[in-house]
Amino acid sequence: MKRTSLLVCYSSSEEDEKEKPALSFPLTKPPTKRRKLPPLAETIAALPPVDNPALHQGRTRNVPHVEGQYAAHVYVSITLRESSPLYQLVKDVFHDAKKQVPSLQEISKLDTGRYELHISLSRPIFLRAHQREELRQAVRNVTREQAPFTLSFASFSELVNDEKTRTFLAIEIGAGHNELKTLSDALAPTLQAIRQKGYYEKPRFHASIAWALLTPSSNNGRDSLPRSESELSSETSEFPTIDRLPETLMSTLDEKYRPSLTSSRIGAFEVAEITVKIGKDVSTFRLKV
Amino acid sequence: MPSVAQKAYSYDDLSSYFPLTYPIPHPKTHPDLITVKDLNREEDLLRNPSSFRAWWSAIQSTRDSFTAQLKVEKPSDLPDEVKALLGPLASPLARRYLQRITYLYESALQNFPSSFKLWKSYLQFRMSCVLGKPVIKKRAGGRKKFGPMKDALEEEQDDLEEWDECLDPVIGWEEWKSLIATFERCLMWLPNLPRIWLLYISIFSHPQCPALISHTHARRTFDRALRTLPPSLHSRIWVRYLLWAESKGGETLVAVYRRYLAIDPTLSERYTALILSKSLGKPRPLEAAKVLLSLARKAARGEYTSPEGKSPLQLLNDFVDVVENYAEDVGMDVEATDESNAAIAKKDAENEGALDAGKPASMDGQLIRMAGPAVTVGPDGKVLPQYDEDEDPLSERKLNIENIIKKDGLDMYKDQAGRLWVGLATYWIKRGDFDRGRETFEKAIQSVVTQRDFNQIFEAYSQTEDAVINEIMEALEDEEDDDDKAELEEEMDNRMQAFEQLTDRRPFLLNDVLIRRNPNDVQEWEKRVALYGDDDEKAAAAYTKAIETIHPKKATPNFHRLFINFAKFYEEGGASGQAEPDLDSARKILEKATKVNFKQVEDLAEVWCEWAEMELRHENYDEAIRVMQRATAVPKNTKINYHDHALSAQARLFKSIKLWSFYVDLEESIGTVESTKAVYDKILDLRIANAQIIVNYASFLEENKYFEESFKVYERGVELFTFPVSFEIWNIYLSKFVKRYGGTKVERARDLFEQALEKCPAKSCKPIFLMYAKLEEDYGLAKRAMAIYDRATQVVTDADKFEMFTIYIAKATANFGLPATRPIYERAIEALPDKQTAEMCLRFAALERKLGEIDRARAIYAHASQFCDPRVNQKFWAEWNTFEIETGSEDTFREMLRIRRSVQAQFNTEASYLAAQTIAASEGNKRALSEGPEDNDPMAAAEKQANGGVKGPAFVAAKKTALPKPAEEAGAQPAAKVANSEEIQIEDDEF
Repeated sequence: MKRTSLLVCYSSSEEDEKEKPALSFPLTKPPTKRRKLPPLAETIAALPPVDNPALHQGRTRNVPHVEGQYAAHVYVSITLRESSPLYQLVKDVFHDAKKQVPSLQEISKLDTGRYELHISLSRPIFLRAHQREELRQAVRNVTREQAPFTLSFASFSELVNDEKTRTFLAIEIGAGHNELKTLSDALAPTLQAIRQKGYYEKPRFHASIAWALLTPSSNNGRDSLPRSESELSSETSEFPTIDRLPETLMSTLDEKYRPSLTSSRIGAFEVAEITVKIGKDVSTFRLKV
Repeated sequence: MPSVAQKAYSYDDLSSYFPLTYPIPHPKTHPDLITVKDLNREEDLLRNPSSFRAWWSAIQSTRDSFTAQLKVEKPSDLPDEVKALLGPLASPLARRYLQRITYLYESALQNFPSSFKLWKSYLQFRMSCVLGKPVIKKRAGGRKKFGPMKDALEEEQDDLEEWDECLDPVIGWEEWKSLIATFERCLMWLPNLPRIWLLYISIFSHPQCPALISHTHARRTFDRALRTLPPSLHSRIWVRYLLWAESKGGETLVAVYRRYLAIDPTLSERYTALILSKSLGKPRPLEAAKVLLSLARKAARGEYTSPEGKSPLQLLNDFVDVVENYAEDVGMDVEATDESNAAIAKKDAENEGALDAGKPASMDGQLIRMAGPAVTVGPDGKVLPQYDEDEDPLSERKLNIENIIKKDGLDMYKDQAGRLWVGLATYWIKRGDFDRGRETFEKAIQSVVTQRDFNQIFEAYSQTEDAVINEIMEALEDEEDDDDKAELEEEMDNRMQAFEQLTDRRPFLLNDVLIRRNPNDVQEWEKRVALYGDDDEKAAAAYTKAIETIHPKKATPNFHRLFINFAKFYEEGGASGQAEPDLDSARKILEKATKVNFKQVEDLAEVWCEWAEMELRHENYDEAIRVMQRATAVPKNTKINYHDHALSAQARLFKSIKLWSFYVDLEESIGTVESTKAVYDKILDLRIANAQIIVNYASFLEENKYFEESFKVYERGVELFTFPVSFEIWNIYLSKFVKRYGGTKVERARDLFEQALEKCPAKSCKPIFLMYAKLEEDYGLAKRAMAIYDRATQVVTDADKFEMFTIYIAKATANFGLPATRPIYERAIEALPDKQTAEMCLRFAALERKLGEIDRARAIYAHASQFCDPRVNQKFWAEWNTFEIETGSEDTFREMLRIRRSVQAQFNTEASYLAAQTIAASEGNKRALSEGPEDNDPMAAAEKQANGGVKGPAFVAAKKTALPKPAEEAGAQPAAKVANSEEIQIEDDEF
């Protein structure tokens, strides 16, 4: 959730400036278009920080920044050492995929040099200050009910975010799905109480390893081939976008890496704690011993 | 002598009579001065020249004989006009006597040259011969000495001498001159006597006083008087001097007044009025304006108090009046004003710098001045104000009106600015500088702070504009040249447009003024928004400005409405709803509003509620709940006093029951049962719930079939509240409980009722008792129910007791039959207050009669009778009457009548009599009253006296003890009868 708290998408002021000349010539505009109200003065609402997707590899904010609101996220964290075989595997997968889809971006590394995979148990949750403790308490209660369990990876897949602005290359979970579902369901009443969305009805627990921007106009139903590089660069000068990941990518990745992924030596982990990240605070809760 | 009568008198003829007194007449020159009769007197005087008495009597006798002869003298045959010219010296007799008496006085004065008495008498005689006879005025009261100069002047004006016809100053010039010379001679001898001076001076105020005397000579004489007399007497001279100067006017007036004002400025206002009046020479507006300005400034500093009681502002307004009327003469023109303004601004800037630099290092200004430029000080050591050309009446420099009005007027009298602004604008317009005038009006409208000032200025402004337009129209009619005409038309169009604009702007300008007066006036800001109507840009700007300007703690009520309306403005798409709705902005406005520290927590709560409602209107239910969750976030420390105004509204918000009620309503309608319960529980935890919340919570739970929980809530409710409030909760709780469980949980219900009754005050426990008894009747034992009724009759308040007994008796009758009610009646009669006892007794008696116990019934009537005044409670007596007629004997009937009389005697106090009157009046039943009681009254009183007032009470007391015990009734009855027969006998005797 670090990136959402850093990113800002609020461009209404720019739009208003564009509208201004129109206000002075209302006759030239088509009558169906209603005029806009004047923008608020800065003394009423301080201008939100200006969003610049260029600073964030072209990503745009899906949820506008709101003063006093904390973004929170509940997930299972898997730390990979550089020496671990899964780390190597993820690296290889990324490189292979990058060859096919050059606009693919790695999910950023942490500064410590450790590589973490996150398996989400919730959507982004937006909390007010007084609700933070409530959420931690809820997660603590959930962890008390659940014994540690084993987790394993099963396959590669492409997942698209709700707003259809980005697509993710993810590794889906095999064993441990039920336990994850139990945890995620146990969180639901709390989220319901603070009027936040629960996790998906039919969750596909996964760990994302890379992402790419989607073309804004791209329609999911349309089955199109990935465009060539030149096309992409012509459309958006700075950040290349794609319609979707090529279908062949999944199959090739599956073919090449699945055996090693599913082998118990590489793809099995013991889950002993759940992480809650609220704003920049990260806290972990151990599962029932 | 017709020839003489017709003779024409020439100037020479007449003037040749004079001078009569110069050279001083002497028997040598005028042989007719002494007659033979006078020889004795002359000889006496010669022999004894130093006897003042002799001289005095000689003079007096001569004067007496003169007056006597004047009276008998036959009317002169001179023509009237000649008589008028010669005045007192018309007849030869008068002329002769003048010489004679003068001769006598002069001779006397040879011997007594410094006799004031002689001189005064002499001068007065001489004056009467020249000036005419003084008219003696009647004057009431004494004269105030050393009053203010203004009063002295007015009094003196009234006291000025008047004379009969005088000697014509042209014909008798020589004689006038001689009179003056005599005065001069006198003053040589007696220079220090003010009376002489005043006498002398009075000549100058003679209307016919010759110019040679009354101008320069008079002025010099006044000056000589001032020089000669000591200062304590100056005021008497000055009074005359000033009056004389006023009569002369012109330069003389100015010179004299200036001299006087140097020593006494109180006459400055009079002076300004004089120099402005056109009758006294050329007006001097500049000088008047400067004097007034200096007065106004001094008055503002407290150095001058106007003798006419004018305030500094009034003086300044006088100044403004002068400026308006003599605009050209007093003020500078535009260029000079601008120049002067620039110079003043520069100087001010320099001064400010100098002030900052040269401030002494002392905190309280107590340091001694050691060095620095020389400072002029007055005689009392105070520092004199700097010389200012604006205040110097001698300076010819014109005034910078703009600067003066600003500094001395507008800066000091902010709430009286209207007149000053109008004055300044009129000044420019009078000078013909319409643009500058208009500019001034605009500036005025932009800066005044009261509605009155605004109206005054606006009125003047529009009148000016109107006048200008009229003038142009007139000019247009007269104009012949086409080019000029077109020019004028264009000018007029412009003016008309400006005028219209001005009228249109009026509401805005007025609103500006009111906001300037109190920038925290929420209502005025709202008015301003309304004035902009559909102009969204302007309205939004006005809202923004209001929110930026208003200080929440100083705002007038309903500041929060401003935010709410502003948010609504965005939510609905502008004032007219034509624009695109902007919910985001509306949210931001409300967000901002939630951070404002309102005066009332309620206001803040309303903002939050409005926000949630806005979300509801747009069907963002989750968002609405989220908003309320934010609003009701409970801080860690809940021990905050809701009414502690030292804390911000935000800190106290979580205790606002209004907010929580709204939230809980919201949860009830769109949330789950669980979430609603959680909110209700939070309210109870915070201890802010009121009875309504408890009842709502319980009924909410009941609706959702959580019966036991709902009862638990009631339990909490009755714990939280003490009685007057908890009664309602108990009432609902108990009825719900009984309704739910009926007879299945009687024990628990009983327990609850007992709990409820334990703390219930007598005032409100009746419904609970009734409900309790009903429960027992329906599901328990009749006996228990009766016990409860019994308890109830003991516990409830007196007001409810009668009703309670009635119910109890009815229930007892239904359950156990009529005889069982006897003890209840007895208890009721004991327990009830007197008035209701009578009513209860009637019923009891009816019961006994129904049961056939006539004697018992009679005893009850007798007992009840002590509470029933026959005049008030006629119903009772009528019933007893019927009872006796139907069931009694002659004896018993008589007994009744006797009791009735004795009771009436008992009630025979003034208070009960008055009560009876009132009741009779209200019933309109006068007939029965006026006959019955009045006949009976004296009798009953007499009876009471005869019995010593002992028997009545003893009789009643006996009854009282007898009644509750039916066993003793038989014994009590004969005793009553014995008493009975005695009473009747006494009555018979009396009849």
